[in-house]
Amino acid sequence: MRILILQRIILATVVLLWGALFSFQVIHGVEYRGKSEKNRTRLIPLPASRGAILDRRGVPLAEDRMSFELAAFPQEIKDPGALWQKLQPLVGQSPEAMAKAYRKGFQGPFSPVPIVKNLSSEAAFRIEEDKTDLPGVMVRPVPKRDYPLGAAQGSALGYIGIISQAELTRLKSYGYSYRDYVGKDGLEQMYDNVLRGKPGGLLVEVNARGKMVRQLGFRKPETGRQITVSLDGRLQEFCYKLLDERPGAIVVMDNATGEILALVSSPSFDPNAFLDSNRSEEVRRYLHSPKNPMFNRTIWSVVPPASTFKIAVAAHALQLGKISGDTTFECKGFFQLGARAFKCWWAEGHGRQTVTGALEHSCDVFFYNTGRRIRADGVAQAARLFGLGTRTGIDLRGENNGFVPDPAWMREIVHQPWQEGDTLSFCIGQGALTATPLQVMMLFAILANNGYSPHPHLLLKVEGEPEMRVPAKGRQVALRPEVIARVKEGMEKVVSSDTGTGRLAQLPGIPVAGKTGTAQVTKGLSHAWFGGYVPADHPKVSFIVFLDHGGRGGAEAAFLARDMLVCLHELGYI
Amino acid sequence: MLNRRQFRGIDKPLFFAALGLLALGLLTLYSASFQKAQDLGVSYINRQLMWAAIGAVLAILLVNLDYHRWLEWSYAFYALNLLLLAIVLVAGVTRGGAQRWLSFGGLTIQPSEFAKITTILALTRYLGSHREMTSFSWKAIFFVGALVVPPIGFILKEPNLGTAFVFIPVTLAMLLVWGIRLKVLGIILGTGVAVSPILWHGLKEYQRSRLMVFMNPNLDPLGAGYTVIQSKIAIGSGGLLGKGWFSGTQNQLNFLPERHTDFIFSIVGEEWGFLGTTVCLALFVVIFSRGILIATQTRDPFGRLLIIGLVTMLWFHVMVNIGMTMGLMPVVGLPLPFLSYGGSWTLTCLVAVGIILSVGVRRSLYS
Repeated sequence: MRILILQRIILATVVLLWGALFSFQVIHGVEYRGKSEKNRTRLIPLPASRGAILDRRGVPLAEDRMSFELAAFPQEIKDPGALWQKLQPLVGQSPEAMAKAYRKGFQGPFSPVPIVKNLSSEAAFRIEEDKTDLPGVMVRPVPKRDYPLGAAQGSALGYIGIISQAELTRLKSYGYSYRDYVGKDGLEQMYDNVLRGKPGGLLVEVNARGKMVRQLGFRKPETGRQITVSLDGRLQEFCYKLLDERPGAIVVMDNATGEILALVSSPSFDPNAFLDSNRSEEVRRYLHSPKNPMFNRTIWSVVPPASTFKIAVAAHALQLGKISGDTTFECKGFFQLGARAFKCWWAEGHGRQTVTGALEHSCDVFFYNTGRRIRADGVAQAARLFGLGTRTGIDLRGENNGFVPDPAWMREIVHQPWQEGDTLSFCIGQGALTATPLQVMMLFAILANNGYSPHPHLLLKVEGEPEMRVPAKGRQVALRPEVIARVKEGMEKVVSSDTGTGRLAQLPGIPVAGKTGTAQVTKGLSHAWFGGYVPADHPKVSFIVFLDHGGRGGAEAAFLARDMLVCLHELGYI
Repeated sequence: MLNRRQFRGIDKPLFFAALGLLALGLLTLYSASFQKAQDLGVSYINRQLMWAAIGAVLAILLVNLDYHRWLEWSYAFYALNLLLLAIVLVAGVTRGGAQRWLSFGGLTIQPSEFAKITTILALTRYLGSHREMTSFSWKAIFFVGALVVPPIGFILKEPNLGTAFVFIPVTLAMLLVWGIRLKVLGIILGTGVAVSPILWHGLKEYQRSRLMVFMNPNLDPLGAGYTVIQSKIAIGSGGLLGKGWFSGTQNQLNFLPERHTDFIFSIVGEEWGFLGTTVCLALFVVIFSRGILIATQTRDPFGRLLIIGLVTMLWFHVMVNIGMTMGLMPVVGLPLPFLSYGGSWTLTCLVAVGIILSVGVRRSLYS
């Protein structure tokens, strides 16, 4: 019967349908269950606050503050254009800028898109009040890094930014992920693993429109650990203003411990600018300016130390016994070497000079003679003994080695014979010899400490860890007491004597010891140096003032150093 | 009402299967519409209960009435229904781009649902009284065509692709059982396949896109494909035993649009699992097989044709509706018998059951 054909068709199709249901619900049930879970749950990441960076007094140099962010929910926005128009008077940003932020931040229909960052609290409250008229937007608090001292500490602290692809590849195994903020330079980069917090998250159940129905889980974001560094914010700020955008650097260190009190490079950048989308023009200028504000001159810049190096040469020659305190050389304003006359910077000549007098007047001819006595290898040895040519090991990335030349290098690398004249320029700190301002400061610290070279460092304490002891990493340079006394006497006279090259750095009541340096350059003004230690009779602090193409050390650098020393005194460090 | 003697004659499995499906439908509807009802202040469950009650009373009256009386009036019903379909096109209520409803005061009816019954009645009357034509079928085909094409045309115009399509398998099944020569049936099918590209061009843009998206729902995951994707997730995630009544996340969190009407089966699948869908399918199988059993037992060719038409109609709805919730069929908007929310549809299903039972009660009376 035909009815039976129909019956079979009906039964067969129902069995097929039943089979399909079995496949969907039993065979692939787990898979679909997973999909439905994914459907109804959303993980809202909660950014963690970054640990603060405190100066030695506990005053924040960098800290996270709560800022307001305007975020939009794509699912609930019907007409974005009209919404931006409506928001314009409230947030004071052009609709185009908001539309651009929306386009750039859009990830999916359910994930909120940050539209305006760093909303003022007034704007935030106004938006909250008009909430019913503004569907699809919300104001949420997000941590925002703040650097109260701005550019004064840019070089030391660095800045933070969204992790780059290269950094992500390198750091992925340490738990960094896409869109994380990461320290890009300075202390922020050096101690990023301590400072960064652990982002938390909120697992919520949402309905089909992406609206939260209830909370399923919560992991509290963990704030990063706070660190205390040896810098003094007040001194840092003073020194930065002192340099007043002139290219240069100032470093101040506590002699006994190696704690860096100030580390200033100028011109510098304001780390806040990197976190403010309105200041992108400023950031662009930082990155492209010929003045190179991103360049940390304290540890990256390498220039000839010039006459500051004479203190190392003098100490080493005295130590070797090649000269004594009584040794004198006659300065006629030049030194005749074969057919060539090597000039002293004082063309009239200093006359007969002892080592202390030669330091006081920075007499080149005396040191030409000394250099010839200890020979080129002796000068190179002096440089290395005082730490030149090697990184100091300060806790900042990218520190430069500087360079100490010697006859072997000249022969093997440059393929030229070492000339007698090379020795002469070498021993007055010119020629191929280069050093960073921090390295040059260490010359003074070693002498101030009677041969002890502390380990310069910035980190004092990490929250949750015991206070760091003074790192015992210091090094002792073997110098006889009478050698040190002789060189110190010379350095004191540099400042205290009315004929001393550094007399501009004189302070009433506090003896200052130092040495000027003027590095000749082929083009433009010379580099100006003035380094030293205070108080001269019982040294507490060493310092260096460096002016990139800044003129004469005695005039320019020593003059600035004086103001800096006054500040040090007022702050109670000397 | 029904006296005991008449009740004894009723086909109990079919009767209880229909009741069971109605109960399952109401339970599921309660869960599916609870939130929407709260939001809109409309009680879907009360309305559906009302329609189910009216339908049940109507069904019982139909069991009591001799269905031949209905057949006598069938052409009149048919003509009246065509008139209503025409009025729909002129003065109907438009929802979601389709003009399918007629509104009388607070009462909204969907004449295309009733057309399923009236057309089957008219076809039964015509085919039943022209049995001698089976040897030479072309004339019959012409008359059958004349009966079927007008409602299809009106309904396509609304537009309501799914409902229009229901008439085709119903008519074919009735012709088959009527005794049409298989060669002729083959020619009809072949012609149908041949003209389908022309029909494709006659489709509305949204209907074409639905068919395209049926082939690949991911073409438009947030638009036309969204419902199917979410429905598949709902059914699949129900697993063996389901998430429990009122606990389906796809349902309660609003991931499924249309879940109280065309996609109610997704909720059955999500909340009651494979167990629930199996029970549901089993109840349908009971209705189909008992209906066919009555059709084979009755000596009345009218009754047989009537049952075949109605069973095919119900079966087609079940296949297409459940198939579409699993993405195996295009989303054409056919409701699920006894479960989907909708007054006209619930009445149609219960009237169909009433007529089948009525044939069953009188299966030994005619020859």
